[in-house]
Amino acid sequence: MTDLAEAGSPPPTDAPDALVVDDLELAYLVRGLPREVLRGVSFRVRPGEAYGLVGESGCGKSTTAYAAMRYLPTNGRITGGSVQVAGTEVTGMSNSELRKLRTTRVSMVYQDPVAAMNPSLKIGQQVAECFTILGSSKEEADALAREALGKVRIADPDSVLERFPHQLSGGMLQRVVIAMALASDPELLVLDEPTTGLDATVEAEVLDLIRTLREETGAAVLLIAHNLGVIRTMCDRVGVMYAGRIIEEGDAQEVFDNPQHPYTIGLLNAIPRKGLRKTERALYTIPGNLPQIGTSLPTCVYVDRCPLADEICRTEVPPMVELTPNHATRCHHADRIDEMPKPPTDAVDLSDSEETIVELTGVSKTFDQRGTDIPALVSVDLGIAAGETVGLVGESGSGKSTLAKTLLGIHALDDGGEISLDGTAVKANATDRRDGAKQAIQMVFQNPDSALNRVWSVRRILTRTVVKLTGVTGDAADQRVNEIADAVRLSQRHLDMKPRQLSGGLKQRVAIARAFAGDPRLVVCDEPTSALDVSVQAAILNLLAQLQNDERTSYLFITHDIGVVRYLADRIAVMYLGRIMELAPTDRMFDGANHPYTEALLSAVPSVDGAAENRIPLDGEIPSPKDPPSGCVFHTRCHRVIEGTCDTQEPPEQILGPGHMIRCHIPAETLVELQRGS
Amino acid sequence: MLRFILRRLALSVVTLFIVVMIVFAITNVFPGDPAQTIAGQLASEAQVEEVRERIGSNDPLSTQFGRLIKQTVTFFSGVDSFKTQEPVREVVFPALGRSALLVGLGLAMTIPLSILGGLFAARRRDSIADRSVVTVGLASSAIPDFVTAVILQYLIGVKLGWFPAIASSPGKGEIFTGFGDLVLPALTIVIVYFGYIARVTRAGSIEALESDYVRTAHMKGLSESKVIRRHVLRNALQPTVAVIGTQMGYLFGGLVGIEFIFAYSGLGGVIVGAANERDLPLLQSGVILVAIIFMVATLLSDLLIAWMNPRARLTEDN
Amino acid sequence: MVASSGPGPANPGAGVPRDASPAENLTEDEPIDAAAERKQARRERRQLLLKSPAFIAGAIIVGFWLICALVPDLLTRYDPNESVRSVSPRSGPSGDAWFGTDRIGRDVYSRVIAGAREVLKVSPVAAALGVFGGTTLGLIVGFYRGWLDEIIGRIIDGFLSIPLILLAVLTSAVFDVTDTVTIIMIAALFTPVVARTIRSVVIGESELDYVTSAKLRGESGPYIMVREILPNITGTIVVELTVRVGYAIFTVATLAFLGLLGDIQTADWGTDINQTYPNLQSGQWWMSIFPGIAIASLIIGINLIADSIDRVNKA
Repeated sequence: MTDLAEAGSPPPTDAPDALVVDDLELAYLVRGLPREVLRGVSFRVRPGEAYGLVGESGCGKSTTAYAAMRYLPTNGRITGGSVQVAGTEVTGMSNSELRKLRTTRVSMVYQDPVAAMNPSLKIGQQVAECFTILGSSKEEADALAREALGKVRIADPDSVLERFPHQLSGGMLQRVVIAMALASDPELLVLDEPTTGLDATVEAEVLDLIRTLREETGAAVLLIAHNLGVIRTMCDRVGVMYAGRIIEEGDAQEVFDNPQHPYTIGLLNAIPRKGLRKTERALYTIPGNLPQIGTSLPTCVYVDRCPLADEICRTEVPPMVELTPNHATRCHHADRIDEMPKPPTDAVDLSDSEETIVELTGVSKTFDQRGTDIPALVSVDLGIAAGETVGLVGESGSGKSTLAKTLLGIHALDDGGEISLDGTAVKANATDRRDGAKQAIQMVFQNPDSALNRVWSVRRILTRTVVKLTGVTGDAADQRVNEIADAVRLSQRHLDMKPRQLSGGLKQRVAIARAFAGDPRLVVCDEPTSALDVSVQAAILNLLAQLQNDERTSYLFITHDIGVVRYLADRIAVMYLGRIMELAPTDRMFDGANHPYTEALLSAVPSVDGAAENRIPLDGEIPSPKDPPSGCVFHTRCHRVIEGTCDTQEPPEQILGPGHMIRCHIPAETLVELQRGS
Repeated sequence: MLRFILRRLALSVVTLFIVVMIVFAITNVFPGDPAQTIAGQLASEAQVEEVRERIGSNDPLSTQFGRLIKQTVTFFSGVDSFKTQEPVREVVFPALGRSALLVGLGLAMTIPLSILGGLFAARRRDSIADRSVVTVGLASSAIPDFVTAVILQYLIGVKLGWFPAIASSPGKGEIFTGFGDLVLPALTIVIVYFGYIARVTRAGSIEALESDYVRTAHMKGLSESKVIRRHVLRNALQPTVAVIGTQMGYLFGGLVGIEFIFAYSGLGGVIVGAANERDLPLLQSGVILVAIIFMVATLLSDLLIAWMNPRARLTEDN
Repeated sequence: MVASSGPGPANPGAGVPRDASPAENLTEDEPIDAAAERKQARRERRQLLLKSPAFIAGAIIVGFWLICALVPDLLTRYDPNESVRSVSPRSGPSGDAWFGTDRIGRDVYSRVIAGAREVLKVSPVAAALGVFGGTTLGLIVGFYRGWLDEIIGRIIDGFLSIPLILLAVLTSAVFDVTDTVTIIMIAALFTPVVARTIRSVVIGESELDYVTSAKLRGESGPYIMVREILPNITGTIVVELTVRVGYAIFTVATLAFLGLLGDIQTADWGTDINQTYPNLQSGQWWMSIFPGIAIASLIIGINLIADSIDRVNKA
């Protein structure tokens, strides 16, 4: 499948643009004063075209999307410019005209499908509502609702119609939302981060669906996302937003392969792309911070962080410069873009230690939920060597978080398994472990707002951790605190602040400092950068790589981002429903021979470098851990399933290569041939 | 759904048991000898002893406790008041009926007013109208019920004379003593409870109005009134239903102040009287009955919420 | 999320190096202005509280009654317990007796001023004790959960099935009612209610990762409850305390009104109403209505304060 989905029959050339946004200015009224959010946004979406708006959090992309439907919060005001949907001006519309617009011309798909549905009404009622608005009778609407669910490829529409939202998965609900959006056959479909929060394989399905429906209905699409890969694979054209302005625009492939604005360049360099590994170079980070929200910026919005900035950038808003008919950038120095500093080349070494420090043998964890047993982890074997990073990848229900927490002792593992540190078994509960074990295995949590005590100063957080984990007090403790603060680039000033005074990236540095307070042997990182913007993520990943290089600490690094795990990890483990399905050194993981699940997973991830070859669709939902399939737990969705074997027996461990283990019934050589051959 | 009901019922039984324990604990700390009170000041020790035997105050505590449990289960049939020697049921149940009338009328007036007020305020959030509703509600709820009662009694009962300032005494077993007797007490209830219920409705409505699913409804193109009717109400009113459930339970025994001022013979007054007279059986039956009503009221409101909110059917205690 | 604080001056170009070397780059360097900003924002919130009309009104009312309780002689015109010479008993409001006189001829105004002491003597202490007890219980049950939570939860449910006022009535009929007894009784009756509120907040906090992190350091339960969780729930506690003071005043007044607190002679709002409300029939309203307004105003004042603190907490 190629990048650009072929649009269906090209719409007539005299049809008005699906969406025209012209110099749109929008502000929020905070305590009576207007705070600028959109500073003159202009773009157009042609009929049947897919246009993506991309940017980091706070850039205004979602606000723009909602403005297209003229849905503003109570304190939002359009202070300038115009929005036209299918030729009709939207900004001055009356409420009844607006309702008509929303019923017939424009539809929306939201970020959180669970919250977007009324929890008290059945699915059927909510979908039928879309049709009764258009004038159908109740019976007609019910029939149309069933049809609509069929169009979004829901297998058993009748049963879904009878359910309530909380009984369906995120992926299923998003299909329902899409069905509702398409009920009116709109000319423009607006999608606001439609797959953020969905698992990779489910996301791929939903994106496929959107692509197909686009072809079938000929609707134009405005797609908002912060994931560059999603934009690349779904959109014809893209607009990159920063601080309320579009700073680069053009053909999606062109912009991502050949960015021309300093910000876009910085952004793309901050992501681990094209199989980048930490041994090659550090990630490029963008210095500085976003401009304060709401200030008026009669300058280039990027001026404070741009390496090319000079006087004119501080005094005039740069114009959109058209480089080619399909590519424009908003920069005063568009011609000097080659003077952008190249990313640095310092890198870290690969760990070469053979000494295993932490060993998990037969580790299982079963939860008891009101009488039912839920096996979250099933007989996991894993060894972690000194100074190495083991990446842990998996979707919901895979058990990766449970594994982390069991390793740390937050959950007690089931009898029969063992976790050992330097050869000695550690106690199941963290509270029972001896001090040496406590300081040796520590954790960096996903959400820094939750992980740091809001009323303690940073200094207190770190000092207490040092005191408690190492037993050192007084001046020696203070010295240690300064040491670790230094190592994560926190200044003395930061130490005296409270967490809420710090940005997300800074908070996460505090969390990392805290984990390193007691000189740990292994640090478990549970999605440490998922809540951070791309540019901030790069800095944190660099920091983690550096600390590992200096201190020879091992990491168990949990993430759902394949690019990141490929960059940082020495070995990668892929989990599915509580079992490790594949374990391999990173290079081997990506050289073509994999467990069928990994194969499908890797092909599902949308990449900013272009669509994966041979996309393997996975049918059905991820099974719930409450009710795991028999035999090989993956057999219900496996595209290489062997009837009779895979559904009855647990698969054996097999060796695909040096250090490369998979759990599969298919003989290794056959699998390699099938995968490499095709 | 059935499992949900059964679980709630089982929990209620446990709680009732604990209530009986609490009541037993408190009432058995009573100083003074009820037997003495019954036999009279002039009775001889032997006569008092006889009374003690009869009412069973010489029995070990566990036996007495068991007896109280049995009485509870049989709804106090066969239990006589210490003071009047007549079955407590004949006092307690009519009082219950009268309280029920009062609570019924009071709530019938309060609930629509509060819900409309809360919704009204929520839709005009932070406006003058909103602030007024909230402030008025805050103030009126803060005034103790007997103070409001006194003011109403004077202004409307005495000065204007529209309704009787004092209820007429009911005959034995009489429940309904005339509509006029109910009005002022019920009006007091409205003033006291409007604020609280309106604020809960307001909070629930605000949450619903700002929810993503209401946004979806708007984006579908539904009109404002349809959005409110189909999507907001069912979700917004759940906390309100919960609050009405608990407040209704309290209203049955907690209106002592109002009952005193208006001389309305409800359950609260009976209990206070019994406390003053050390009339244990009457006191115990009254308090336990109040607790039972509270549990029934909250059970019903929980069921209603479960009907309104399918997710609530899964969890037993929210 | 990248740094995005509230309104304020744009970052005045904190020198961006041309040849940015990421390894040494403080990419997250918060401009000092931004950090000071946030501190300023918190100070602003406190000022917001002090300026909100609700808070001011409440504070004035409560302040007034506090003065009456502390130095009644400042504002009384006559001895509250002695009948006034110049005015006959049962007279309505007049120049000599602003609020009229009661059955025995005592000045109602002076009695109202003096009556504040009785109520304020007991209520704040009772409320504070109750909140203390409830917080302790709520912390323990909310943090440890388990069977302890189940059992105590059921007991609390039992207590809450009976209206507070009836429990108070029951208890005051049992014990000899002195000030101390009243305080302990009310504190004991408030503990379950407060415990329930605190419990749910504590459960919420316990689920946050900083508590897990503390456990991973080997902190003991009591340490986590008191040093980690408690400082985070002070907002809730303050609101709860203020609300409970209002409720304590209400309970004390009602008990006095029902005649259960004894001591007829001292000026006391509730008792005064108890003795004078039958007089309403004959149109003599001032003896009961003025004390009533006093009670109402005090409780309203307290609730206004509680509400404004609650709003600021949530903002």
